[in-house]
Amino acid sequence: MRYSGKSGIHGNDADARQLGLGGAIVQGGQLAGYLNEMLTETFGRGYIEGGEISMSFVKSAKANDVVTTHGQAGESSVVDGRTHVDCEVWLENQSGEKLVVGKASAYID
Amino acid sequence: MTTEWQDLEIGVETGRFSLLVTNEIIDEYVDSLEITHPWYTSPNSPYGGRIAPPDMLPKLGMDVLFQEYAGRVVGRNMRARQAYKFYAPIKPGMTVSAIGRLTDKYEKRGKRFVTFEALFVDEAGNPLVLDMRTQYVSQAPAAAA
Repeated sequence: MRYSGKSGIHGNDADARQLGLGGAIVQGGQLAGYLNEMLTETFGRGYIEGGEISMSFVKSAKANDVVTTHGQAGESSVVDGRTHVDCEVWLENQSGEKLVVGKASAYID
Repeated sequence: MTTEWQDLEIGVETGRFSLLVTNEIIDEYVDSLEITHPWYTSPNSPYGGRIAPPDMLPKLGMDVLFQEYAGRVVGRNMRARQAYKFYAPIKPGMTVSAIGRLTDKYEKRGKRFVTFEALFVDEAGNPLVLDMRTQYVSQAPAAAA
Protein backbone atom coordinates (compact mmCIF):
# COMPACT_ATOMS: atom_id res chain seq x y z
CA MET A 1 0.00 0.00 0.00
CA ARG A 2 3.00 2.33 0.02
CA TYR A 3 2.08 3.44 -3.50
CA SER A 4 -1.12 5.02 -2.23
CA GLY A 5 0.23 7.94 -0.26
CA LYS A 6 -1.05 9.11 3.09
CA SER A 7 -4.48 10.54 2.32
CA GLY A 8 -7.77 9.33 0.96
CA ILE A 9 -9.35 5.93 1.34
CA HIS A 10 -6.15 4.22 0.26
CA GLY A 11 -3.75 5.91 2.63
CA ASN A 12 -5.77 7.13 5.60
CA ASP A 13 -7.95 5.05 7.92
CA ALA A 14 -10.12 8.00 8.97
CA ASP A 15 -10.85 8.97 5.36
CA ALA A 16 -11.81 5.39 4.61
CA ARG A 17 -14.12 5.11 7.62
CA GLN A 18 -16.04 8.17 6.42
CA LEU A 19 -17.14 6.03 3.47
CA GLY A 20 -18.14 3.12 5.65
CA LEU A 21 -14.92 1.19 5.17
CA GLY A 22 -13.23 -0.42 8.13
CA GLY A 23 -9.96 1.29 7.33
CA ALA A 24 -7.69 2.18 4.46
CA ILE A 25 -8.03 -0.19 1.53
CA VAL A 26 -5.69 -1.29 -1.20
CA GLN A 27 -6.08 0.48 -4.53
CA GLY A 28 -8.06 -1.40 -7.12
CA GLY A 29 -5.35 -0.64 -9.63
CA GLN A 30 -2.82 -2.47 -7.48
CA LEU A 31 -4.98 -5.59 -7.39
CA ALA A 32 -5.53 -5.30 -11.13
CA GLY A 33 -1.77 -5.14 -11.54
CA TYR A 34 -1.35 -8.53 -9.92
CA LEU A 35 -3.87 -10.09 -12.29
CA ASN A 36 -2.13 -8.45 -15.25
CA GLU A 37 1.21 -9.79 -14.07
CA MET A 38 -0.24 -13.32 -13.89
CA LEU A 39 -1.63 -13.02 -17.42
CA THR A 40 1.65 -11.66 -18.77
CA GLU A 41 3.50 -14.57 -17.18
CA THR A 42 1.03 -17.01 -18.69
CA PHE A 43 0.58 -15.62 -22.19
CA GLY A 44 3.57 -13.31 -22.70
CA ARG A 45 3.37 -11.40 -25.97
CA GLY A 46 -0.12 -12.79 -26.49
CA TYR A 47 -1.29 -10.62 -23.60
CA ILE A 48 0.94 -7.58 -24.13
CA GLU A 49 -0.22 -7.37 -27.76
CA GLY A 50 -3.97 -7.84 -27.88
CA GLY A 51 -4.83 -8.95 -24.35
CA GLU A 52 -7.95 -7.70 -22.61
CA ILE A 53 -9.28 -7.84 -19.09
CA SER A 54 -12.47 -6.68 -17.43
CA MET A 55 -12.98 -6.98 -13.70
CA SER A 56 -15.24 -6.04 -10.81
CA PHE A 57 -14.05 -5.17 -7.34
CA VAL A 58 -16.34 -7.07 -5.01
CA LYS A 59 -14.54 -6.87 -1.69
CA SER A 60 -11.76 -4.65 -0.38
CA ALA A 61 -8.22 -5.72 0.40
CA LYS A 62 -6.47 -4.21 3.40
CA ALA A 63 -2.89 -3.93 4.59
CA ASN A 64 -1.40 -7.29 5.63
CA ASP A 65 -3.89 -9.26 3.53
CA VAL A 66 -2.29 -12.02 1.52
CA VAL A 67 -3.79 -12.15 -1.94
CA THR A 68 -3.44 -14.74 -4.65
CA THR A 69 -4.36 -14.55 -8.29
CA HIS A 70 -6.20 -17.30 -10.15
CA GLY A 71 -7.13 -18.00 -13.73
CA GLN A 72 -9.05 -20.65 -15.60
CA ALA A 73 -8.80 -20.96 -19.37
CA GLY A 74 -12.04 -21.46 -21.23
CA GLU A 75 -12.99 -21.51 -24.88
CA SER A 76 -10.49 -20.87 -27.61
CA SER A 77 -10.94 -19.72 -31.17
CA VAL A 78 -8.89 -18.55 -34.12
CA VAL A 79 -8.87 -14.80 -34.70
CA ASP A 80 -6.86 -13.34 -37.60
CA GLY A 81 -4.85 -16.54 -37.73
CA ARG A 82 -4.00 -16.45 -34.02
CA THR A 83 -5.34 -18.75 -31.30
CA HIS A 84 -7.45 -16.64 -28.93
CA VAL A 85 -8.31 -17.85 -25.43
CA ASP A 86 -10.96 -16.61 -23.03
CA CYS A 87 -10.33 -16.93 -19.30
CA GLU A 88 -12.00 -16.44 -15.98
CA VAL A 89 -9.74 -14.61 -13.54
CA TRP A 90 -10.07 -13.76 -9.90
CA LEU A 91 -8.10 -12.69 -6.86
CA GLU A 92 -8.64 -14.09 -3.37
CA ASN A 93 -7.51 -13.12 0.11
CA GLN A 94 -6.05 -15.43 2.73
CA SER A 95 -9.56 -16.53 3.77
CA GLY A 96 -10.46 -17.64 0.28
CA GLU A 97 -12.80 -14.70 -0.23
CA LYS A 98 -12.93 -13.37 -3.76
CA LEU A 99 -11.92 -9.73 -3.92
CA VAL A 100 -11.77 -9.23 -7.67
CA VAL A 101 -13.56 -11.26 -10.34
CA GLY A 102 -13.40 -10.88 -14.07
CA LYS A 103 -12.73 -12.13 -17.54
CA ALA A 104 -9.62 -11.89 -19.63
CA SER A 105 -8.52 -12.92 -23.06
CA ALA A 106 -5.20 -13.33 -24.80
CA TYR A 107 -3.53 -14.90 -27.78
CA ILE A 108 -1.33 -17.94 -27.79
CA ASP A 109 1.61 -17.11 -30.02
CA MET B 1 -19.38 25.10 -8.66
CA THR B 2 -21.01 21.68 -8.30
CA THR B 3 -22.70 19.81 -11.09
CA GLU B 4 -26.04 18.14 -10.63
CA TRP B 5 -26.22 14.50 -11.67
CA GLN B 6 -28.53 15.24 -14.56
CA ASP B 7 -26.18 17.91 -15.87
CA LEU B 8 -23.13 15.65 -16.11
CA GLU B 9 -22.19 15.81 -19.78
CA ILE B 10 -21.37 12.55 -21.50
CA GLY B 11 -18.35 12.93 -23.73
CA VAL B 12 -16.85 15.82 -21.80
CA GLU B 13 -13.07 15.90 -21.58
CA THR B 14 -11.94 15.18 -18.03
CA GLY B 15 -8.19 15.58 -18.29
CA ARG B 16 -5.05 15.22 -20.37
CA PHE B 17 -1.89 13.27 -19.65
CA SER B 18 1.54 13.16 -21.18
CA LEU B 19 4.66 11.34 -20.02
CA LEU B 20 8.16 10.52 -21.15
CA VAL B 21 8.62 6.91 -20.03
CA THR B 22 11.97 6.42 -18.35
CA ASN B 23 13.75 3.53 -16.68
CA GLU B 24 13.48 5.36 -13.40
CA ILE B 25 9.70 5.62 -13.67
CA ILE B 26 9.43 1.92 -14.43
CA ASP B 27 11.80 1.10 -11.54
CA GLU B 28 9.73 3.08 -9.07
CA TYR B 29 6.48 1.56 -10.28
CA VAL B 30 7.55 -2.09 -10.17
CA ASP B 31 9.33 -1.57 -6.86
CA SER B 32 6.31 -0.01 -5.17
CA LEU B 33 4.04 -2.83 -6.31
CA GLU B 34 6.68 -5.52 -5.76
CA ILE B 35 6.33 -6.72 -9.35
CA THR B 36 9.17 -8.99 -10.39
CA HIS B 37 8.47 -10.15 -13.94
CA PRO B 38 11.85 -10.11 -15.77
CA TRP B 39 10.42 -8.28 -18.78
CA TYR B 40 9.83 -5.29 -16.45
CA THR B 41 12.97 -5.53 -14.36
CA SER B 42 15.63 -6.46 -16.89
CA PRO B 43 16.44 -6.08 -20.59
CA ASN B 44 15.42 -9.71 -21.13
CA SER B 45 12.19 -9.35 -23.01
CA PRO B 46 11.30 -10.32 -26.59
CA TYR B 47 11.10 -6.60 -27.40
CA GLY B 48 14.80 -5.83 -27.49
CA GLY B 49 14.89 -4.37 -23.97
CA ARG B 50 12.76 -3.95 -20.89
CA ILE B 51 9.16 -2.90 -21.09
CA ALA B 52 6.81 -1.39 -18.54
CA PRO B 53 3.91 -3.29 -16.97
CA PRO B 54 1.03 -2.84 -19.41
CA ASP B 55 -1.19 -1.14 -16.82
CA MET B 56 1.46 1.30 -15.60
CA LEU B 57 0.26 4.20 -17.74
CA PRO B 58 -3.36 4.06 -16.52
CA LYS B 59 -2.11 4.00 -12.95
CA LEU B 60 0.19 6.97 -13.43
CA GLY B 61 -2.36 8.96 -15.38
CA MET B 62 -5.54 8.30 -13.43
CA ASP B 63 -5.43 11.36 -11.18
CA VAL B 64 -4.92 13.83 -14.02
CA LEU B 65 -7.23 12.03 -16.45
CA PHE B 66 -10.16 11.17 -14.19
CA GLN B 67 -9.86 11.55 -10.45
CA GLU B 68 -9.35 15.28 -10.21
CA TYR B 69 -12.46 15.82 -12.33
CA ALA B 70 -14.42 13.15 -10.49
CA GLY B 71 -13.64 14.54 -7.06
CA ARG B 72 -14.42 18.10 -8.10
CA VAL B 73 -17.47 17.53 -10.30
CA VAL B 74 -18.94 14.12 -9.55
CA GLY B 75 -18.19 13.53 -5.88
CA ARG B 76 -16.44 10.96 -3.74
CA ASN B 77 -16.06 7.75 -5.66
CA MET B 78 -14.60 4.27 -5.55
CA ARG B 79 -13.54 1.93 -8.32
CA ALA B 80 -16.31 -0.51 -9.15
CA ARG B 81 -15.11 -1.95 -12.44
CA GLN B 82 -11.93 -1.78 -14.48
CA ALA B 83 -11.18 -2.89 -18.02
CA TYR B 84 -8.05 -2.67 -20.11
CA LYS B 85 -7.15 -3.49 -23.66
CA PHE B 86 -3.46 -3.77 -24.44
CA TYR B 87 -2.20 -3.09 -27.93
CA ALA B 88 1.59 -2.79 -27.81
CA PRO B 89 4.48 -2.79 -25.31
CA ILE B 90 5.42 0.37 -23.47
CA LYS B 91 9.13 1.04 -23.72
CA PRO B 92 11.56 3.44 -22.04
CA GLY B 93 12.08 6.50 -24.22
CA MET B 94 8.50 6.61 -25.45
CA THR B 95 6.50 9.80 -25.03
CA VAL B 96 2.91 8.80 -24.40
CA SER B 97 -0.27 10.80 -24.12
CA ALA B 98 -3.96 10.35 -23.42
CA ILE B 99 -7.20 12.31 -23.15
CA GLY B 100 -9.76 11.26 -20.56
CA ARG B 101 -13.48 11.49 -21.11
CA LEU B 102 -16.65 10.81 -19.19
CA THR B 103 -18.37 8.18 -21.31
CA ASP B 104 -21.37 7.06 -19.27
CA LYS B 105 -23.42 7.68 -16.17
CA TYR B 106 -26.13 5.44 -14.80
CA GLU B 107 -28.04 4.39 -11.74
CA LYS B 108 -28.36 0.80 -10.66
CA ARG B 109 -30.11 -0.53 -7.56
CA GLY B 110 -30.23 2.95 -6.13
CA LYS B 111 -26.51 3.62 -6.66
CA ARG B 112 -24.87 5.98 -9.12
CA PHE B 113 -21.98 5.07 -11.37
CA VAL B 114 -19.85 6.98 -13.85
CA THR B 115 -17.57 5.55 -16.52
CA PHE B 116 -14.39 7.11 -17.82
CA GLU B 117 -12.22 6.16 -20.74
CA ALA B 118 -8.77 7.08 -22.05
CA LEU B 119 -6.67 5.72 -24.89
CA PHE B 120 -2.93 6.00 -24.33
CA VAL B 121 -0.95 6.46 -27.55
CA ASP B 122 2.69 6.88 -28.54
CA GLU B 123 4.23 9.81 -30.39
CA ALA B 124 2.90 8.55 -33.70
CA GLY B 125 -0.62 8.06 -32.35
CA ASN B 126 -0.36 4.29 -32.23
CA PRO B 127 -2.54 2.80 -29.49
CA LEU B 128 -0.85 1.35 -26.44
CA VAL B 129 -3.50 0.87 -23.73
CA LEU B 130 -7.23 1.53 -23.51
CA ASP B 131 -8.35 2.27 -19.97
CA MET B 132 -12.06 1.98 -19.17
CA ARG B 133 -13.10 2.39 -15.53
CA THR B 134 -16.40 2.66 -13.72
CA GLN B 135 -16.58 4.46 -10.41
CA TYR B 136 -19.29 4.13 -7.79
CA VAL B 137 -20.29 7.60 -6.64
CA SER B 138 -20.47 7.35 -2.88
CA GLN B 139 -20.98 10.98 -2.01
CA ALA B 140 -21.91 14.09 -3.96
CA PRO B 141 -19.35 16.91 -4.01
CA ALA B 142 -19.67 19.48 -1.23
CA ALA B 143 -21.26 22.80 -2.21
CA ALA B 144 -18.76 25.55 -3.02
CA ALA B 145 -18.11 27.96 -0.17
